[in-house]
Amino acid sequence: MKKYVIDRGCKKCCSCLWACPAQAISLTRDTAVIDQAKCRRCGACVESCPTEAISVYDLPAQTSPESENPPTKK
Amino acid sequence: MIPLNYRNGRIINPEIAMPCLGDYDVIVCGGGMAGFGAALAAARQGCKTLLLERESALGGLATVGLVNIPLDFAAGISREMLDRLNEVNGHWHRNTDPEKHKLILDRMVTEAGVDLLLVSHVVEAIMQDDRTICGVVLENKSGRQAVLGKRIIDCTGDADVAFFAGCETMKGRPSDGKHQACSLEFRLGGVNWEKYRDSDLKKNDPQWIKLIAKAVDDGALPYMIDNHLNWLTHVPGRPQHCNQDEVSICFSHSRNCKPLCAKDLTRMYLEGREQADILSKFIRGHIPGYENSYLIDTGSLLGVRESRRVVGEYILKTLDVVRANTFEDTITLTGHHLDLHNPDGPGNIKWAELEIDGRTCYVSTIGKVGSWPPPGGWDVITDGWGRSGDDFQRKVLPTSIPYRSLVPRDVDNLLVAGRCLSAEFMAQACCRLILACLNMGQAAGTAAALSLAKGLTPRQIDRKELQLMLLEAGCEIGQSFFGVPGLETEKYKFTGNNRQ
Repeated sequence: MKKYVIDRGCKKCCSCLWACPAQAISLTRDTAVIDQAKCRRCGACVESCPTEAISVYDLPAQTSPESENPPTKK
Repeated sequence: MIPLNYRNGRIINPEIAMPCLGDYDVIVCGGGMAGFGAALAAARQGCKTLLLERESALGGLATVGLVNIPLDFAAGISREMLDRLNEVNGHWHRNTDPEKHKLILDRMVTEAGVDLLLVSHVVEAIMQDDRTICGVVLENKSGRQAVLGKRIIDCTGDADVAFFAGCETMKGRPSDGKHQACSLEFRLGGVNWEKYRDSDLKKNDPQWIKLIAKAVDDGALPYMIDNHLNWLTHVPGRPQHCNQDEVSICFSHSRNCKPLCAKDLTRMYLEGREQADILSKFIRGHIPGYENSYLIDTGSLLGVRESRRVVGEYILKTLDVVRANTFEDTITLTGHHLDLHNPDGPGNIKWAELEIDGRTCYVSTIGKVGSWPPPGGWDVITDGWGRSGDDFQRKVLPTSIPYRSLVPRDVDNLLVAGRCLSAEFMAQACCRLILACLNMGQAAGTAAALSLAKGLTPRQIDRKELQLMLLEAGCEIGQSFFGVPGLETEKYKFTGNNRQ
């Protein structure tokens, strides 16, 4: 299972909002955030981000992607 | 040579005869991203096309200006261009390699059979009558020459041709006439990107706001150049993760800019280079991963975000942007929000003052974002319908740009594309991204070709015919979001990650 996370390097350019086929990304005061329940884990956002602020983490099979602090980085 | 004839502080230029370079179907003035799209689209429709560019390469700010961030909808020629860049490892994460980008643009216009003239300034419009343009005057190392064209497309960014032709133009912020801040990009080499990416600084102060405040306080930075516009874009195709990454930075800013005045442009270039010197030293001394970085270059083209805008058949309104209003004659979309680089201070402003239902609202499409809150603080931010607080709804649909915004009101056979489109000041602040300009260019080039084929002026063409041609060329004109009135667009819809 993969988890996609946007870090605070986000410049709020909104590229990922349009790239996301599931419309799972929205904006807060500081950064864009991915709604893990809607995310299809396709990776379109990673490629679209001009500041490389979106990272992919590998989660152990049983872990829910909604859980905090992904343990291992890809 | 001209004789000295000095009157009232002016040198009188006597009547001169200029050589005429030829007669074209379409002349595209300006070879930035909009001009590239316009020339390619017109030539591919079989028009004899001339592309004039004042710099030594195509691409304008995206290449010569080092703004290597082709953001916005990639469809039609934009998609093709990014695919071509992918083939040569010149694009990743919406960052491009400016050198590879120049080469791809050269190849694409040459393959399409466009006549290209670099290092040529357009200095005058040739008018058949008050309302009809029929050519331009250009200047280059071969001297002053004329060239005639049936359709002229103004992609100069500053609406130079439209202005020379006598079109009414607008400029600056209506309240004080000030323009958006201008930037000179620069590139740093020798960066350890991985070290920076995993650093505590990026985790805790990613926009360097605290770091810069402290640096201004203790004198490490002589003045507040900016406080959070450290747009770092990682240039592709370089050796990675071995302390040799290359980063392009939009950080320097000149304020109170007069981008239509050569004296002030000179001031901004000098200031930009001083700021690049200050900032590159500051970054080397203070940012993890940049300890061994060095300044590669500064852009040779200043990043002017807004100057003259033409008055067209329709002036795109800020309200159209914040409400995602659609038009019958939409020719492209932009996904950007209101994004004003502060004309007279650091930071940016992402809200607009608008009158909604008789009251003054401070409208944002994305929420309480930007460097500066409106008068009254962040809580007064509303959406396009004046709703604030919990009722605020972030805009989820892109902005439509109508064909009429590319058609100047006052002159026939002329089209504009790029950042000089017909739009209000704040509306323009969302229509100026690289691919938005390219997409507008493609629409203008296609419209010029259609108007020639039909024997009509660009003003008279049937928007449906134009839209069908754009759909056939793979463009996004709203079909994936809104549909297009009167057209069956189901088979042209983009889905999933093809939307951008």
